[in-house]
Amino acid sequence: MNEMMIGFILLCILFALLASGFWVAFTLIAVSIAGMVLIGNDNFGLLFGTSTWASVSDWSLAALPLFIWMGEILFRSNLSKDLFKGLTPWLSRVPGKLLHVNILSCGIFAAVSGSSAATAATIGKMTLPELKRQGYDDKMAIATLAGSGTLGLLIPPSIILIVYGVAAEVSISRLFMAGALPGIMLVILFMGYTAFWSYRHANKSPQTEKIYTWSEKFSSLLRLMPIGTLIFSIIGSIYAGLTTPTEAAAFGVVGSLILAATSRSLSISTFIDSLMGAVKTSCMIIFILVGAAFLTMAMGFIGIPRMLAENIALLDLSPYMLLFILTIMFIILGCFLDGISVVVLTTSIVLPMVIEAGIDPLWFGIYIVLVVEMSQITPPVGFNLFVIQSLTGRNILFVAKAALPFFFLLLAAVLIVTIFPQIVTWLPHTMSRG
Amino acid sequence: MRTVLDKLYFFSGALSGLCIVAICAVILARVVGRWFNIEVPSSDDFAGFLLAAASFLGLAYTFRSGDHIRVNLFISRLPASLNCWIERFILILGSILIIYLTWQLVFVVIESHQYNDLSSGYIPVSLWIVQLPLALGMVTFSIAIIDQTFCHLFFGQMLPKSEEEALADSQQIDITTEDSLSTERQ
Repeated sequence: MNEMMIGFILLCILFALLASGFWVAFTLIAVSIAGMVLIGNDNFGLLFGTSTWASVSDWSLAALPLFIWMGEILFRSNLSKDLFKGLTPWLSRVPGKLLHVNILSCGIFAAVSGSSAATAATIGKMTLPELKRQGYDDKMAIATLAGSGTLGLLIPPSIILIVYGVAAEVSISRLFMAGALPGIMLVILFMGYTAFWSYRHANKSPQTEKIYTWSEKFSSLLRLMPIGTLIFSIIGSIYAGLTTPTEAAAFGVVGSLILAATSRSLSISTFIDSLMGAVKTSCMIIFILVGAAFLTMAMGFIGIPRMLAENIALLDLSPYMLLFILTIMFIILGCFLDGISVVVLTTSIVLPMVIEAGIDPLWFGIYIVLVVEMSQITPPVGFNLFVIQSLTGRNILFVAKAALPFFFLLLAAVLIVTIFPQIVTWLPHTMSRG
Repeated sequence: MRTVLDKLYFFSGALSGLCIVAICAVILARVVGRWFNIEVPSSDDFAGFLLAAASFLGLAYTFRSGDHIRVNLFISRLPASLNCWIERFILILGSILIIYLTWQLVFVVIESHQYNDLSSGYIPVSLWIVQLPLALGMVTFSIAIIDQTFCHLFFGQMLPKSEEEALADSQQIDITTEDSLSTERQ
């Protein structure tokens, strides 16, 4: 049986298992075993043991549970309220006012909390009633919430970039730096669009209720200081090469514990809750990584990535054409799968092909996260949408339609980083080490 | 029996949590030590071992909370009885797979013990000792899946939903009473 045939059979098994609700990590392992059986390699049990131990005892992966824990602590602190109150005075003069508060607080909250669904729920609970009360347009309120909940995937510390870094063997420090500028670019795109929209639809955005004085503005800055300091010291210390991401994560945990303690939101029960929350999320992700490591190895034995890479080389596609095809494939895949699964499937199967086509794996990591962000706000899968649906009581199609402009903004961002890859690669190249 | 099993999963999950705290402590010690030019020996090895322990000991607990990701988009649209049968099918398949995988990981530990493998770091550690939590976590995970399969087959207990799914499925969240922001601001 040739590789093409085996690849096709495995693809069918993969989709059949996923569609019947088999756990993603188990699906990856089952597909690998099936592949090994098909090529007549009966050593897979032993190989599973060794690949598993190698993939989980890697200390750079320790950044993952620590950043998740940090997010869980901050999630249970007063962070969301502080962001809202701290940002409001500063944005009261920008067209779109509170809508920008929605974008920025979602962006910052998602960056540290790691879960865009939890972000949409937490921030939405707070901002949606206020937006409604002041008479903002429903659609824009929903759209900004849905769109900016996805920002956290790109802005460091990002869990999904750690997953990509570990699976694709790309330096996590460099990935974090690579994500920073595109993240800022997205925030500017989102805010720019919102400002433009509000300017055009002045009748749908209410007048400023209150003019804030400078002293009010500066006192509100105090609310933003702690979280700002925390994020900047994490990013800064990694950029300067002072700490590895894992070390920065450990400090992040300490910092967020201090932050929660000083805002009197730390108790024994929130501490335990945050820790057990971290256990659940990190075990889930690491088990998927175990499956992905095994799949990568099995794929190597079967030779599917090599075959794909050779065929792509034969076709003589331009990298742009290849990226175009991949983007469409990922958008479709992302409709049914969560981001982490999309990332690990990619690194196991198409990464060799991408590298063969001369695409920088560092750049590709940022690209794939952008595409995953798009899939977060497209139905039918996209927890963001479901969460907002239950927050607002609007149906899912309304929510998805409202979020559509932000989908296109993300698509624009993909185009921009494809045309100007320096936006991604410049910052990591200026790093002192790592 | 029910309470014994639930306690087992929780205990194993709590151990996993303690491992995460320990990772944090080891890494902090490493950095603080570096400031004072004290090398904490093999700290990266130990962080790795603790990570392996944390990841596997928490598997059963995560499973019980329904947090292992699966796509239930398609089967949740099916009629309830068909959905139930598919859940049974994947549980049985999962049970078979997990028993096999657990055996393989236990075998890794037995082999490390037999050959008395040592870790390659600055402080050599018997590998089987640090690999043992993996095997234990896997055994607990198998028990959890088989337990769930039995409950599903004989008591019709459906698979638990994750927090995110529950969040998404919940009825409209009451946003009016949630926060006192608007009253505070007026």
